[in-house]
Amino acid sequence: MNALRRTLNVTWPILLLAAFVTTFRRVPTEAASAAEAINCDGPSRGSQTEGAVDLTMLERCVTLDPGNVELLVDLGAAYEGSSRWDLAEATYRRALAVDPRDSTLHLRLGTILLRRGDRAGAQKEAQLALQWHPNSAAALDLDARAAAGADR
Amino acid sequence: MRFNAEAWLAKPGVVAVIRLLHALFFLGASAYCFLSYSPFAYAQFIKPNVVPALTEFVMLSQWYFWVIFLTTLLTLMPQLRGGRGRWAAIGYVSVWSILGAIALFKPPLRAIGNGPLGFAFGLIALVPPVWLAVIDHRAQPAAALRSTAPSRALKACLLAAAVAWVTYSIATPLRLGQTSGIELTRGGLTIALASSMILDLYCFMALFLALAAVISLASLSRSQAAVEYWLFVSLLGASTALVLYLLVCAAITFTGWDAAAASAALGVALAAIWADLARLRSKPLFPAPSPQLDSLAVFCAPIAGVKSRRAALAVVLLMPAVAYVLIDAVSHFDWNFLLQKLTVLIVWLATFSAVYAARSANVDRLSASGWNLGWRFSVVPMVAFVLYHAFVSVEARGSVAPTDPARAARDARLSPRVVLDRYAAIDPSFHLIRDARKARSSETAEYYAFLRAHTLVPFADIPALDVDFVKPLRPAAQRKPDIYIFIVDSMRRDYLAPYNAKVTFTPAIGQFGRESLVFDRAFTRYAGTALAVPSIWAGAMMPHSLEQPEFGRRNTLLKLLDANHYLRVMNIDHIIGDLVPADPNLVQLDKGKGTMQFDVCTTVGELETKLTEADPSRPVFLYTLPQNVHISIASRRKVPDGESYPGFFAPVASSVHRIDGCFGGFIDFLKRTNRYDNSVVILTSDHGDSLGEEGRWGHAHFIVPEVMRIPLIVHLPSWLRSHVSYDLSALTFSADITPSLYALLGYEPATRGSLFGHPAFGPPAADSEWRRRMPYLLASSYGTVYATLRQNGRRLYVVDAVDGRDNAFDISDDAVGERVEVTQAMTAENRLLIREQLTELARQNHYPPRP
Repeated sequence: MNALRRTLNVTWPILLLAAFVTTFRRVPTEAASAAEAINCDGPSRGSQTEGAVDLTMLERCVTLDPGNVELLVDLGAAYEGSSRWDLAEATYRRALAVDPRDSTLHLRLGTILLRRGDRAGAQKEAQLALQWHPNSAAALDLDARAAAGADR
Repeated sequence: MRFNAEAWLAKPGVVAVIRLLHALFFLGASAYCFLSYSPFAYAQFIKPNVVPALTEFVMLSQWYFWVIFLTTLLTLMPQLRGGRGRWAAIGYVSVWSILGAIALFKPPLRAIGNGPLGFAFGLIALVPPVWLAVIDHRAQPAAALRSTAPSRALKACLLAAAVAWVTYSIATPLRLGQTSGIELTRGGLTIALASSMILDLYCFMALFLALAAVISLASLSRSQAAVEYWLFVSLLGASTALVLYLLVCAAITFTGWDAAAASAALGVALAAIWADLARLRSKPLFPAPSPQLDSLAVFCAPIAGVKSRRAALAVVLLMPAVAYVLIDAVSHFDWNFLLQKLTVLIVWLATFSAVYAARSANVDRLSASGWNLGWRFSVVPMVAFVLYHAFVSVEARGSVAPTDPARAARDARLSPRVVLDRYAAIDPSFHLIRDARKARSSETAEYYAFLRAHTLVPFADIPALDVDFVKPLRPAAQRKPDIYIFIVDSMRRDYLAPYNAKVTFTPAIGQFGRESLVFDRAFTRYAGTALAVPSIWAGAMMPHSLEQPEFGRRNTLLKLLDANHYLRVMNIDHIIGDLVPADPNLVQLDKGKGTMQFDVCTTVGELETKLTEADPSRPVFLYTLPQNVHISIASRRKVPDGESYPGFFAPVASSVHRIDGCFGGFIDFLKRTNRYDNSVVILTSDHGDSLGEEGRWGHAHFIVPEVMRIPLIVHLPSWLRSHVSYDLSALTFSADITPSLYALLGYEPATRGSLFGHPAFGPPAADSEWRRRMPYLLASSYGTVYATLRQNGRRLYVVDAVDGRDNAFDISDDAVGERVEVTQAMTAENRLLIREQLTELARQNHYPPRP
């Protein structure tokens, strides 16, 4: 009995120290959030399903990551593809709220506005696009078409 | 009463101080030698003379040696006159006086360079302190010791945990006010403080268990107390070696058997020095009729001795101030928090030693059972164990995203992980423990091994390779503008008026910005000069190596300049000297100056003279890498009276202000001499810098927004500007400068994929949307840290294999970005992208990744 007690007295600090050391470290990925069930931030986000744009998926992705301009651009383009101009315009405006300096967004919004008959708005967007992308042929073209009254 | 110098020099306290100075000198010399031996540390710190004090130490080291040696000699007089340890002392004096005399003629520290000599001298420099420890142990009789009472050790550990926690947490409100980028609510701060307390308790209970394990092992021996003491000393030596290997060597990419041997040698030397000081500081109580001191009290003697409780208490009370001053002294020069972490370990050791000394050891009051290491001493460590794991459980549960995942992805303040990360920036003790807690899953370990295989690739593994944007490259058909490239080392974009409306101290650069093109989303590919500069000259990402074999063959900028007969006016720093040959086309500025002495003001002064003398028919190319803003230079700058920079780090802002004046003067010179409208003038930086964001300073391994974002302002002659299109809001890299110069000279540089630069200027019909959508690889110049930059530079995802963590940032706005929660999907996607791009980089450059 005394021998057992003596052995325990000698070994417990070593055993407890081993427990301290081995359980001290944590694998960081265990703490990583599993927020996204779908991936919305890469080429595998599946914006297209069998050639058709998956609007539902894009809308869900935009809900998950509302600051992702590229997602918003894809969604706006998808709305354009289904002739939902009002939604496309609103989407591009949302994207511009995130990045007001994006010349391609101004160009896309201007094109929609021109299509919807807002020539002044289209011209303004063309000017904003030119401010960030001087000499851009596409922006100059939009500006000219808006000035000339062409609707597309 | 006459002052008796001999008696004074024989006092143990005086001898201990001289031994300490002796140890510091030789440890410093040894550390310098090992740093010189490490190719990485040599290339990054020693060759460019980043720390001038180190160079001064090297230049004067042989004289310091003699001062230390002669002072030590005085303390050895009793031994030399025939006392105990006589032959060891005679040996010490003989050997080191001869070596010291040789050193006067051939100073060893000046001669070592980067080679095996550094390693050998590093080991040799550790011999004198160990030798002195042997002399002192022979000269001073060993104390009669008694075994350490576990109860006293336990109480000391508990108290030390509390003192260590207070030492660092007491300064957190102050640090919170000083550190930018940290937002902590009162609730968040309370949780962080409680977490810190639990972690400190856990660490000091682990220390108690280590001490208890030593006591229990020693109990198997007949001379229990002496064995205990030497096991404590061995524990210190082993811990020191481990810390040096795992923390210090890893931080400077010094790995392998030689790093392990250097760490082990330093561990042995430090243990010997500590034992020497312990022997000297515990001397006054000897000889005693019965053992008065326990083994741990003698071990703790170097800090507060064994005589006075008051002295020990004073040390304990001073500890918060000491810790604060130490952190403050090293933080600006720190390398990835390394120095701060080392000061924490020193403070912990000092705290424990002082607390143990402060708890009086009254032998009479100790019961016989007090010596017995019973189970009851396991209760407190077990409570600490339970508390720690309860904290871990809460921490893990708190990291799971709330019901609204979009909110979780955007608002980092909701995540306990981010709260604790932010707290770590203001509590170095918590930071140290947090980093030590990180373990890796097998998947992550495999991934890190992959990253390491692509990092700091051996020079010999990289074949020379021809890289061309245009082949064959003939002289440009159009008019050739002069080209001036100012790459200001470490200059941040938000310290320049064109990028930050709050900046009022760069009026000339502000005016230059109004006349030029200000690229809004400019980044560097590399977080350090060593690879950022080669990537600018090559117009591409580089093989991750400290040396670039036959760089001329991939130097696309040099090829462009030579094809068009440009006169190169450059200052030659420690990096560019290896990349660009000295030939008749080169006019060197700042001759005879070291890299860190390059000052934009003197450079442009000399440049104006050279331009005046130059052949006007020949186009001129300027390259300069001024160091005014580099943290090691700027932080030493005294802000002139009358200048104030609220909201900015004043020494850096003041340096930028000085640059502004001289740069503006140069622009005026170009205008005065009618050169401005025939000049492409580029103002940029190789990388940014951390100036206290989340406690970070300078730039090291880490990839963070404020280091990766750079200013890029380009002035074009009006005749060029009207012919090209450029998207100022699209993502641009410093590696795009060279292909852009090709485009400006009328070439059509080949498109070679995302690892190469792309011209920022193109024909009016050019589309820039692809730039915004591509993911780009970023890398640290100095360690295994990689990142992806996506969404037109708004999202930065970092895999930091040095710190063992992944970080994500949203850098949508103009500020330094905001941390966002790392999600599993993000991790998978971005790690895959980095893997693909590194594989492609190795494939393109034909080097085999080496494990």
